[in-house]
Amino acid sequence: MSGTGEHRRGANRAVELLLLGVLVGLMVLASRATEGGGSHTLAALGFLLLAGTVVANVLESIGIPHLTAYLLTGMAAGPYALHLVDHQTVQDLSPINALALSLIALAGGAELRVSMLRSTARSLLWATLVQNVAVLLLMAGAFFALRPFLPFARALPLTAVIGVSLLWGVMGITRSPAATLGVLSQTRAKGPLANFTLGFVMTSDVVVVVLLAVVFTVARPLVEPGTPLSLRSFRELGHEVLGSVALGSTLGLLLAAYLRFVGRQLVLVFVALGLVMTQVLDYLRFDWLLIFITAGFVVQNLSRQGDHFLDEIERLGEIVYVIFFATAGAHLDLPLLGQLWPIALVLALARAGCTWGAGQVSSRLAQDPPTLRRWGWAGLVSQAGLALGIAGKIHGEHPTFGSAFAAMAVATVALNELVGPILFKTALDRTGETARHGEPEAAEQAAS
Amino acid sequence: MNALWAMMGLIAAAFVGTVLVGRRGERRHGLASGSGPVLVGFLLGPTALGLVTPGLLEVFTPLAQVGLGWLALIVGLDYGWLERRRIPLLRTLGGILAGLFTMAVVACATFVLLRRLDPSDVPWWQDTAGWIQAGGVGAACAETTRHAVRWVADRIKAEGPVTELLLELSDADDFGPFLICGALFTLQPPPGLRWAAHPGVLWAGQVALGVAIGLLTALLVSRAFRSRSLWGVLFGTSMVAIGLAVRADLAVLTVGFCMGLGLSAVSRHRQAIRALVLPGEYPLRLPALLLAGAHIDVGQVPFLAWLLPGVLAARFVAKSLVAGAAAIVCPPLRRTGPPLVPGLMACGPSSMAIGLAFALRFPGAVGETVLVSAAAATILGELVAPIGLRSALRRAGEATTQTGPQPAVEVPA
Repeated sequence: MSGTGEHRRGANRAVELLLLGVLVGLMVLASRATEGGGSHTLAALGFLLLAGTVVANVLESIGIPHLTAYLLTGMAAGPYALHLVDHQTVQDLSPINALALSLIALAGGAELRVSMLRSTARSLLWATLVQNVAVLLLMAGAFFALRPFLPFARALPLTAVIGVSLLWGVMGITRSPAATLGVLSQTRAKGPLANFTLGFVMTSDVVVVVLLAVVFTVARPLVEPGTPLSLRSFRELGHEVLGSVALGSTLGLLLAAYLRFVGRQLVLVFVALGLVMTQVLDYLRFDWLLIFITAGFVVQNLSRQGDHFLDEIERLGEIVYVIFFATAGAHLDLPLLGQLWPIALVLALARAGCTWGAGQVSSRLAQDPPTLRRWGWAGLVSQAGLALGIAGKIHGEHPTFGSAFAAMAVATVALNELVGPILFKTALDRTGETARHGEPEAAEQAAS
Repeated sequence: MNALWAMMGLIAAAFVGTVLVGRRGERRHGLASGSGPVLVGFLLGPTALGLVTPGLLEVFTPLAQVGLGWLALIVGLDYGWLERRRIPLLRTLGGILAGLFTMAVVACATFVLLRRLDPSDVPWWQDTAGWIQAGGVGAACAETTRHAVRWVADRIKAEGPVTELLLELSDADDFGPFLICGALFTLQPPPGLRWAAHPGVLWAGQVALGVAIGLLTALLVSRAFRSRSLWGVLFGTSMVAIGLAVRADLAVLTVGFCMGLGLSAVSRHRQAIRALVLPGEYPLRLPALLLAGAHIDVGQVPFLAWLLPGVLAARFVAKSLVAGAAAIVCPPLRRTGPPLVPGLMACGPSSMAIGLAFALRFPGAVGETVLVSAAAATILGELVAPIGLRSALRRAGEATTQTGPQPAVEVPA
C-alpha cells in the first residue's frame, strides 16, 4: 500500500476514535443527567454495537481479530470499568445472546459440508479422540497437581479432589464455536486449517455433551461419598441428544422448504427461532444448540439452499455477533480476574500446552499435512459460553465448592476467550488461508 | 396471551408487512391508511377481547419505542424527497404550513372543548395538562398521509401536476407534528431527567441531540466504512439516539426525526442509506400499528362521546380551509373541486405513532385521549379519503384507469 493510502487510513482511524470519544462523552453525560445513573438497555445496546464496530475497525490494523475487539469494548464499557453498561443491562440483553447462539449454531451446522467432513475425516477422528480424552485426563491431572494453590480444593478429601479434577478436565475440553465462526467470518479463510478447526469444534460440541454426562456420573460418588452410581443421566442424555437430532432434522427440512418455496425475510424467521423457539425448547428440556446445528447441517447437505442460508445468517450476524461478544466482555468479572489471574494463567497455559501436545500426537497419528501439524491446535484454545454453562451447572449441583470452582472457571475462560481468537487468526494468517481481497465500500455496495 | 405468543404475533405482523411490500408493490394490498392493524390491535387489546393485557404491553414498551424511533428516522431521512427527486422548497414550506395550521386548529378546538366539558379553576394559560392533551390531539390529527395519496394514485394510475402536488404536500406536513411532539413532552418535567431546565431548552436539546447523532452517523458512514460495518453504524447510532431519548423521557419521535434530517442533510451517501433503510419501513409499521391499536383503552378517555366528534369536526374544518387556501395558491388544484377536502382527511402511521408516543409518555387520560383521537381520525380517513382522492384526481383529469388491476410498483430493495 502506498504511503498516502496508509496515511489516509490512519487519519480515518483517528477520526473514528475521536467520534467514539464524543459518543462516550454523550453516554457519560446521559448517565449523569438522568435518574438512576445506570445505563439504559436501548442506549447501551446501541453503544456496544457502535463502539464495538469502530474499535474493531481501528484494532484490525494491528492484527487484532474483530471479536477480541468486541470483547475489549465490552470490558471497557462494562460495569467494572467505565460503567456505561451496568449489570442489569447485561442481564436485559440475554435474549440477544440466545439469538446470537442460535445463529452461530445454524451457521456452524451449515458450514459442515459432507464433502469437507469426508476430506478431513481421518484428522477429525484422531483429533476427536486425542483432544477430548487425553486433554480431559491431562487437565484433570494439572488441576490435581495445582490443588495446594487452590484454597477450595485444599479443604476437600482426596476422593473429592479427584472428582473435582475430572469436572475441571471436562471443562477444559470445551471449545468455542462462536469464536471459531467469528474469526472465520471476519477472515473469510478457506483451506485445510479452517476446515479442520470448524469441523472439529462443531462435532466436539456433541462429544463434550456425552463426556460431560459420563464425568458427572463418575464424579458424583467421588465428590459426595455415599451417593450411588446412577445411570439416570445417561437416560436423560439419550432423550436429549436423540430428540434434539430428530427435531433438528425436521427443522432443517422445514427451513429448506421455506427457502425453496418462500425464500424471503429469513431474518424474521431467525428472530422467531432465536427469541421464541429457544425458550420453548429450553422448557421442553431439549438441547437447542444441537437442534440448530443439525438443522443447519440438513439445510446445507440435503438441499440446494445452503449458500443462500449462510448469506442470510451472515447479514443478521453482522449486528448480533458484535452485541453478543461485547456483552460477553461486559459480563467478564474483572475484579475476580484480578484476584485469580496467577493461578488462572497457569491453568490456561496448561490447557494450551495440553491442546498443543494433543494436536502433535493426533496429527502424527492421522498423518496430517505440515500446516495442520503446526497450527491445528491454535483454533482450539478459545473458550466461551459452553464452558461457563458447564461451570454454572457444576455450581448448581455442588454448592459446597461450586461457587469457588465457577469463579476459577470464569477467570480461566476469560483468558482463553481473549487469547484464543488472536491465536487462531494468527494461524490462519500464517498459513495463508485468510482472504486477501478488499471489501467493497458501503456506499458502492448499497448503491449497487 | 403470554409474552412468547405476543412476540410471535408481532413477528408474524412484521412478516405480513414484508410480504405486502414484496415484488408486486405494497400499494396494491391492504387499506389506504393502514388502519387494519390498528383495528386488529384494538380487538386484541384491553377494551375489546382483553387478550393483550396492560402488563403484557409493558413488556413490549422498549420494542414499541424502537419502532417509533425507527419510523421517525425513516420519515426524517426521506423528508423533502420524493423517490430520488428533491421537493421544491416552496412546496415543502406549504406542506409544513398546512400541517401546522391543521394542528393549531384541532388543538385549539380540543382545548376549548376540554375546558367546557371539564371546567377548571386553573387559568387557561396555566393549564399545562390541558395544553399537552390538546396539543397532542392536534399533532396526531395534523397530517394527510402520503401513503394514502400514493395508494390511490397507484390504483388509478394517476399522473400529473395535481398528483405530484398532493404527494409533495402530504410528504412535507409531518415536519410540524414531529417537532411539536418534543415541545409538548417537555411541558411536564420529564421524570427521567435529573436536571431541571426550561421547556424551551429541553426542546432545543432534543432537536440538537437528534441532529448531532445524525451528523455523527454521517461522519462515521463517510469514513470509507465497509459494507459489513454500515448496518452496525446505522443501527448503533439510532439505538443510542432512541435509548437516550427514552432514558430521559424525551420524545423519541422528535429525536429520531431530527437524526434522519441531520443525516440526510449532510451525508453524501444519502441515497445508499435510504435504499438500505426504506425497505424496513413497512415491516416496522405493521407491528407498531398493531401495538398502538392494542394500547387503546377507551375507558380512560373522559367525555369520549363529545370529544371525538368535536376533534373530527375541527380536523374537517381545518382541512377544508387548507384545501381552499391551496386551491387559491395553486391553480391546478382548483380542478379537483370539493372532493379534495375528504381526500385530505387521510391519516395513518405518523398519526398513530404520535398517539402511541403520547400513550407511552403520559399513561392515563392524557395519552389515551391522543391515541384514541389518532385512531378515530385514521379510521375516518380510511372511510372517506380514498373516495375523495380518487374523485379529486379524476376531476383533475389525471386518472388513466377507472378501476381494476393496478400497476406493479417496485419498491427500492
